[in-house]
Amino acid sequence: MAGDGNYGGNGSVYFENHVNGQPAGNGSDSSAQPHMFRLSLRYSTESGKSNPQLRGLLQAGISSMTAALTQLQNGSNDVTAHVEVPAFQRETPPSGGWEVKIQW
Amino acid sequence: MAGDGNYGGNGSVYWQVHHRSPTGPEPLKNKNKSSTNAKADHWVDLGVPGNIPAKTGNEVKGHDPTPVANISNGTGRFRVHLYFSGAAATNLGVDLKLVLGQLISDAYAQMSSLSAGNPDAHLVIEVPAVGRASEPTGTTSDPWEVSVSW
Repeated sequence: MAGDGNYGGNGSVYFENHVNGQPAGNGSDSSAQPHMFRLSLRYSTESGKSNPQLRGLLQAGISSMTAALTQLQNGSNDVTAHVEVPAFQRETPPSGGWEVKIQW
Repeated sequence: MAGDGNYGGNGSVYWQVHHRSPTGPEPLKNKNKSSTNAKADHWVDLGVPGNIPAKTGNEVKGHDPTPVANISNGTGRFRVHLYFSGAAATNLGVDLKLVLGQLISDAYAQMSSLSAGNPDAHLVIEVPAVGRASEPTGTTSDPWEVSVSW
């Protein structure tokens, strides 16, 4: 019925995927009838980035989203956007507070 | 050196994760095998010990040993690519212009929060899932709704 994908760093990259009951590798959650994917992005000075650097990344994301909105207003049906999120350099593997979390 | 996780729908949810080195796709070892170096190897933990089984536990964890500082061409950032499908939004009764407008407002609010001295900002993004008739392919004509690369 639901799942999430989580990505975080501690000097190297860790990812974690949950699906309500099973699969792995290339996976399929056949019980889900998705409506929206929900992403939670974390911008934190704990990543080692300064407050102005974090604002710069958010501003870049806003610019990409604004360009996508303009395309929609000009008649496009489908648009893309991208954002970047600074990875943490944790001492231990992430156990929560992921930089990128995807739920469905 | 790189990898991506991709998420898409066709009435159900499909996901895949790839690790890639400069020479191509990187095979993932079973973390639970004694021959796997948990610090140096690309691995996947299928939630059960021993050889990779036909059936797994209910959680999959992976490890890409690339130093975080080197990911995404040395930027140290996760790159999140979003595909907003007009047809998917219409099927859900969602106005994409409103979705993106609200998202931009939310992002500005998070910037203001950072400007006020808060050390953490959180941005939540909702992307309509595509109701495909078959599995998503991730090609230019059939992009994933959400793709995370590093």
